[in-house]
This record gives sequence, C-alpha cells and structure tokens, in this order.
Amino acid sequence: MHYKIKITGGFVGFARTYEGETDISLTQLKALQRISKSNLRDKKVFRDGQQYNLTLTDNEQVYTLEFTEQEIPQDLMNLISSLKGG
Amino acid sequence: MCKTKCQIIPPHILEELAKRGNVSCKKTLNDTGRIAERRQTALNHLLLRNPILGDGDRFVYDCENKYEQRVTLVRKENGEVTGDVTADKAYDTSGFVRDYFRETFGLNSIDDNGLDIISNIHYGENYNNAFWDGDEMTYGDGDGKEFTDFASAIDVVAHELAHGVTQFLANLEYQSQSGALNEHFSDVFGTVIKQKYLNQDLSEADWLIGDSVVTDEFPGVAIRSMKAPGTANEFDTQPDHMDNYYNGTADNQGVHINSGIPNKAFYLSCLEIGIDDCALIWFETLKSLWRTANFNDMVETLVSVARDLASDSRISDRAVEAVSKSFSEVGLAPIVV
Ligand SMILES: [Zn+2]
Repeated sequence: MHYKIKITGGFVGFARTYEGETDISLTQLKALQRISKSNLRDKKVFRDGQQYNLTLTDNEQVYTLEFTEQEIPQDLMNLISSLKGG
Repeated sequence: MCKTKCQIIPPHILEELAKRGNVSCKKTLNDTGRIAERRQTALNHLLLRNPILGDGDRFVYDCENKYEQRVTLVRKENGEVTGDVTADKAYDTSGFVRDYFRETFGLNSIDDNGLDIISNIHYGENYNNAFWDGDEMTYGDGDGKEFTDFASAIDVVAHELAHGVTQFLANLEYQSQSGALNEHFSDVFGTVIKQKYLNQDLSEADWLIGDSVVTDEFPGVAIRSMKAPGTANEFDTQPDHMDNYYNGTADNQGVHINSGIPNKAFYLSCLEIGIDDCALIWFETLKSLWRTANFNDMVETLVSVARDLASDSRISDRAVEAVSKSFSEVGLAPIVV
C-alpha cells in the first residue's frame, strides 16, 4: 500500500511530505484509529500544533485521514514516526 | 465599574468598546473566553488549579519518547542537575525566560499569578515540533536529519512560553491576523530573549528564529528570519510587506506566514530606538490588545502606547516616529487622526 503523509503548521510552519510503501492494511489502520486516543484531546488552547494528513492508496482505493495535534491517536503518531523514519 | 455591565454585553460590542480603549471591557472579553476554555479543561481533567499565588516553579518531565506528557518528572525547582543535556537546558532556558519577564516587566510567571512552568521533553520519536497547549510546553528531539533538540534552543523556549503570556494577557485568537499577531509576539520575545541570553547587541544579533534547531543538512539557516522574512530556508514563504500578504487557508490562515510582516516592522523599529524600548512598547501593547485585534489595531495601539511611554520619559522621544515609519515600510501606515 502506498502512503503519503503531509504535516503542516507547527512551530516549523511550512509543509513537509513523506511518501513510500507500507504493508499495513486498512483494517489494521482503522483498528489503530479506534483503540488509541491522544492525551492532548482535552486541551482547548493550542499554539504551534501540527496538522496531519495521511493518504493511503491500495488498488485504486484511497483512504484519507486528517487530524490536528490534539486529536491524533497516539498509535497513529507512532505509525507516522515509523513510516517517515524520523 | 464596567464589570456587571460587561458580562451581559454581547462579545461583538465588547470588542468594539475594547478597540476604543475600554480596558474593563477588554478584560471581560478576554476573561470570558479564557474562563470558558479553562472551565472545560478543568472539568475534563477533574483538576482545579490552585488559586493561591505561585512562584513560577519549573518542572521538567521526560516523555521518554512516547506521545504522552508528564511521563517522568526529572527535575523541579532547585533540583539537582540531571545529566540529561536536554532536561538541564530546558530547565535553565525556561528559568531565563521567566526571569526576563519578571525583572523587565514585573510579570510573575506566565500568567502573572506565579503559574508553574512545566516543560515536557523527549516528546515522541523524531518529533519535529514544539508547542504550548494552554497549560504547559512540549518539545520534540527532532529527527536528527533536518531538526534537532527543540528544548535546548533559547528562542524556541521563549517563543513557546510567550504563547502562554499572550494567552493570559490578550488571548489573541489563533487564526488569520490575530493569530499572526499571536505568532509575532512569540517571535518578538523569542528574539529579544535570545539576544539577552547570548549577550548580543544589535550589531551582533542574527534575528533568526530556530537557527539552532536546524541541522547542517537542512536547506536553510533557520526556521524564520525577522530581519529578512522569506529567506531563512527553501520553504520559507513569509512576506515582509502587506503587498505579499497570504490569503490562503493553510496554517490557520497563515499564522506562521503573515507574522513575517509585523516581524520585519519590529526589526526596523529596533534599529531606530533599540531593543529594550521596543520590548517595553510591545509588552505594553500586548496588555492593551484584545482577542480579535488585527494588524491595523496593532499599529494604532503600538503608536498610542509609544506616545504614552515617551511622554513619561520611559522610552526614546523618537519612538512614535520610529514605530510609525517601520510599519509604513511594511505597508501598514498608521492612520493619522
Ligand atoms: Zn508559535
């Protein structure tokens, strides 16, 4: 499956994009999304938070996820870290 | 005197009154938003902040590369050196920023009530960011390829801590022009405090933000430049004039982009009257601004504050002219009444 991660905003300010292939399935991805949640979710004031846009393409099927820094589940952050390799 | 009335006046009327200099209405307006935000946070956390005045004590937590805050407390006020360079730097720099605001403006920590200063370090893995979340600061280590150790940079720490100060003084809404002003104030105190920390004068200062968090591989010298917005790196799209104002929706309508315009004006003002006079004018202006203030409101307030400070002989008598000229150069000429 092809992935594309776009990170915008944050202290750095400008957009960064990471692309590549992953063997994660959509089912696994949806499970990650369901079971974990961010411990920043309840923060109402947020400055320099990033915006995460994750697009996965598998046999013509396109799956897109969008999160703010407050909302993104921790396991997805871990996944993004591993995909972009830093 | 306005307290009771202000609470039943709709926000848009409070904003108009605040613009016309009604300090009580501005305070009520800012407090209303702040109280609602804090009440929600408190309910969700089942945590109520102690109303007793604090001392602005520092607490440094190691997130141990997890995407979680406050994992392990590694250093607190007057605590022993940890041996972790990032932890000890975060402790030292946050103390320097706290002391600058206290000694220069008499501000008792971030909220002027001695709020604890909490820093989270080693957040996540290869995390390329630092943020203020309304209560505390959080820093990534960077990916080591393009970015490194956000908590060790004095300007980054001052920038994030200043977001807290702005939240409590003006609560500038984080979108469009008020959001760009929010970013601007953080860069202003980021660069002022960096120059103090490094004992630099105007001729030595580089006016760069985040120069020490970018690696040699990064295609640029820093994240932003106040002297020359738009030139800090290959991706830097900050304008330095209203002619190039960013009208798009990205980055909360360009909060980190359009901040380049007032940033340039601040730099030009400092060349005219020095960084200390400018820091005082900008700090007093922050106290007078309100949640939805835009660039024109900012210029009007700066000029008015500069006039008052100059008439009290607290700053140069050339300040009004210097600020007006600097903002005119970036396309924000003050309206002459
Ligand atoms: Zn910021």
